Amino acid sequence: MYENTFNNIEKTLRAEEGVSNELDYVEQISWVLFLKYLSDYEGDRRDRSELEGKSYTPLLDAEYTWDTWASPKDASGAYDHNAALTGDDLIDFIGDRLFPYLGGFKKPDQDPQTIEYKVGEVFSELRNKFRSGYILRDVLEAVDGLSFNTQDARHELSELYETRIKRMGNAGRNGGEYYTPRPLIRAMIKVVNPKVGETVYDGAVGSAGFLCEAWDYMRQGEVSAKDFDFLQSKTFFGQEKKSLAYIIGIINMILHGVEAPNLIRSNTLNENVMDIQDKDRHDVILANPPFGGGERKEVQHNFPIPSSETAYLFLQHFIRKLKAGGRAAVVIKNTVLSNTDNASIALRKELLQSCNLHAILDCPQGTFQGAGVKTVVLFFDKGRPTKDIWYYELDPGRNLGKTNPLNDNDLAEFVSLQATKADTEKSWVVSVDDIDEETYDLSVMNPNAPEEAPLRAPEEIIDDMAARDEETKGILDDIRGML
Amino acid sequence: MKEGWKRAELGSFCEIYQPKTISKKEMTPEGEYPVFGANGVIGRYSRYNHEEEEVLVTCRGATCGTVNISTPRAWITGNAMVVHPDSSQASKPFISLLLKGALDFTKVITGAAQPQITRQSLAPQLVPLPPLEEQKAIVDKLDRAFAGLETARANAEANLENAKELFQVALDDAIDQSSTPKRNLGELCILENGDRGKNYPGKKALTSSGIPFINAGHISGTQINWAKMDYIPEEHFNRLGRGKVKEGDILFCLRGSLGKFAAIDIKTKGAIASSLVIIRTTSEIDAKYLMFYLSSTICRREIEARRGGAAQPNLGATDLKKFMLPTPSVGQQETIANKLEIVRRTTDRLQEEYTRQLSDLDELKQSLLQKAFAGELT
Repeated sequence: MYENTFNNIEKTLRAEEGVSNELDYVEQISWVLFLKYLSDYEGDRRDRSELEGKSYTPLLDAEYTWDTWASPKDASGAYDHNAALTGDDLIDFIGDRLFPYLGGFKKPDQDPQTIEYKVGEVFSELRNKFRSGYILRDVLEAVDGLSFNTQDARHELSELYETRIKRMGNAGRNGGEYYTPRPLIRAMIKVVNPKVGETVYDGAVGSAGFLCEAWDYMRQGEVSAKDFDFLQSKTFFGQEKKSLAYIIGIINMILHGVEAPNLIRSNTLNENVMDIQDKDRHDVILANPPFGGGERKEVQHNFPIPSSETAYLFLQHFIRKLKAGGRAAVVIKNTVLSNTDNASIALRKELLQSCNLHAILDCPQGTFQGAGVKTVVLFFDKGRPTKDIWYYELDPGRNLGKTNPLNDNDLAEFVSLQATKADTEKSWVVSVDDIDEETYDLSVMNPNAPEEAPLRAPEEIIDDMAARDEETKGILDDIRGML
Repeated sequence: MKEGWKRAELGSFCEIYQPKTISKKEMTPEGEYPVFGANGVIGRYSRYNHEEEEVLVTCRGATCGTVNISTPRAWITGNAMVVHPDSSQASKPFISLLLKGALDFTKVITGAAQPQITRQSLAPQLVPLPPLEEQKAIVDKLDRAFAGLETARANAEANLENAKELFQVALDDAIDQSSTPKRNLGELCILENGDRGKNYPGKKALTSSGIPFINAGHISGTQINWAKMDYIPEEHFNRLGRGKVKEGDILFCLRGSLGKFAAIDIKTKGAIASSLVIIRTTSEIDAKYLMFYLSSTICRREIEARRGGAAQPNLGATDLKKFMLPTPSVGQQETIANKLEIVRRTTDRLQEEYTRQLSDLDELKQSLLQKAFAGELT
C-alpha cells in the first residue's frame, strides 16, 4: 500500500537541489519519517493514558507537533491549505525554529533510554537539506498518508525502507559503511542463535541490520506477552558514532517494530576497555565494525593492544563486552588472520587464548558491494580458550555483484555444516596445536581443495597429438575418395 | 546442368509457410511436446501442430537464415519458416542441405533494422533439383563427410591446445629443476617502481606524442603494444624521479592481470605507470631465462600465494623480491633459454598449422557443399 507513496516521494525529491545522492535521500526522508512516527507514537500514548485515566504530558510543545506545522487539518479533518506553511516560510521554520527546538532536547545528563534523548541526538546533528519549501510541502503531504500504528503498516514500511538502505549501500563506498548484506546477517544469527532473555549488542550498529534481523529471529514461534516486552525494551543495544547512520538505525528499528530502540550515539572506541564491568556485558554480540579508519593515539590508549586499525580496536572491545558463556559473530577483513605486524599477532594470540574461536567463515570477493577487501566472519564464545577452529570457504559458484548479490541459499550449506564441523571440500578443522606459536597465523588455507589436474608428461601429449593427426588423415583420405 | 537435373523455384516444389505463433506465456515447462522457434527448442507446449519432422529456416532476428530440423510431433511457431517439400520431388534431408549449401541468404533476407525472411522472398529462389535417387546419394555422401569433418575439427582444436600445453610442460620441466639452488628475485635483479608521487601523470597529462608512458594495458602476450601507446611531454618525463625504462628491462604487471610481462626490446625512452614494475637483470641472471621463469607454473604459484585477496588482485615490489627462482650458473641459464627458444618456435609453428587446418576444414565443408549442388559429387 505504501510503495506508491515512496516512489512518489522519490520522484518529488529528484527535483530537490539539496538532495543529491542516495545517502542524502535516505537521511532526509528519515527525519521526516521520524517526526511522523513521533506524532503517531504520541497519539498512541495519549489514547492509552486516557483509557487508563492517567494524565498525559505531551512530548512536544503544541506549535512543533506534526499536526500543527506539517499537516494542519481544519474542522472537518481535511488538509488545511491555508494554515500550512510552505515555500521559504516552511524552510525558515524548519531551520530557525523546529530543528533548534528539537535539538534542544539533548541535555548532558539525559537518560539514553528515553525518547527525548533520541529526539535530541537526531536533531542536534542532522541538518535539513531541503531548499525548496514547495517540494518539502509535497513530501510532508505524502508522508502524512503513512501510518505507523499497525504492525502491517510498519512491516511494509520497514521493507520499503530496507530497499532504500540497500540501494544506499550499493551506491558506493560511503553507503556500504552502514550496510551488511542481510543474507550474511541471517546466517550469522542462525549460528549464534540468540534466545529470549538474552541481550544482543552491536557496537557499530550502523543501519541496525543485525539488531533488526535478530529481533525478527527471536520473535519466531510462540512468544509470551512478557517475553515480547522484554524483547522490545531490554534486549537490543547498539552504539553508533555517525549521526547519519544513527538516525537510519533508529528509524529502521522503529519500522521493524521496536518502539524505543536502545541506540546510543557515541564512539564505542572512546570507552576504555579496562573499565568494562560485568553489568555492561552482553550475551550475544553481532557486528560488522568499520575497517581502516585511523584512530588517534588517545583512542588507541583505551586498548591493551594499540593499533591505528579501527577494526582491531573494535575486536578487543567485543572480546571484553562478552559475558562468560556469551557468543559473538564479527565481520572483519581477512588480513587480520595473516598480517605479521606485532599488533596483529598479539590480537590473534589474545583471541585464541581468551575465547573459543570455533569457526571462521571465509567470504568471497563481492560479498560487500563497493568494498575491495576480502572479509571473514569470526565466531567466538567467551569462557574457554580455543581448541579447534572450523573453517568454511564460501563459494556461491558465481561472480557476486550488484545485480547478483549473496542470497540465503548460498549460505544454507554453511549453516548446516557448521553444526557438525564437517570436513568437506570447502570446510576443514585446524587444531590450535598446529598453529605457529610465533606468528599465530590463521590464514584461510584449504587443504581439501581439489588439486588442479597436473600437466601431462611431454611424451603423452605428443602421442595424443600424433594419434589425432592420424585420425584426421584417415578422414581426409576418405573424403578424397568420395570425390 | 547435369543430366536429369533441373533448376526450379523453391516454391514450385515446396510448401513454404510460417506456422501460428504461440506466446511465451502459453508455453508450459511440463508440456508434452517441444516447441521449435527461431533457434531450436524454445519451450514446451500441450499440443503439437506437426506430426512429422520438418525443415525450418529462422525467419526473424539476427540468426535469420539458420536451418534446423524439428522432431516429429512438435509445435512449430511463427519465428521459424517451414519448407515442406513435395515428397515426390524432394526429400527433407536433401532440402535441409540444399538450403545450407545452394542458397545465398543475403539475397533473401530483407529489412535492415529487423532482418526477416518472408515467403515472397524465399519462394522464387532458383535452386538445383536433382532426381530423387541422386538426392539420396548426395545426402549420404555429405552426411558421412560432415561427420568426419566434425571429428577432424575437434582433433585440430585439441591439438592446438596440446601444442600450447607441450610448450608449458617443456618450460616447467626445464626451469623447475629440484636440484638447482634457488635464490630470491630481489638478489638477482633490481626492481624499480614508477614515480607514484605528486608528479604522477594523471589522465589529463597524457598526450599523443612525446615520451612513452607505459601501463599494464599496453602489455599483451609478452609484447608491448606501441601502436596504442600513451605519451607524456618530455619536460614532464624529466620531472619524474624514477621508473624510467632502459632497453632490456622487463616490465611486470602488478595489478589487474597480475603476472603479465614484456621486455623493452627497442632503444627508447619511457616511464612506467603505477600498475607496472621494472625488473632489471644484473649479471647474475640471463634475461631470456628470467622471462621463461616468469611464464612458468612455479612463478604462477608464487603469484597466487602472495596476491592480496582484494577486489583488485595486486602484488607489491616487496612481494616480487621474495620470489624464489631456481638459479643455475649463467652459462647453464643461457643453454636452457636457447633450448626453450627452439621448443617455443616449434610449438608456435604447430599452433599456426592447426589454426590453418581449422580454417581449411571450414573451407572444405563449403567446397563440398558447392560441389554437391553443382552435380559433381555424385
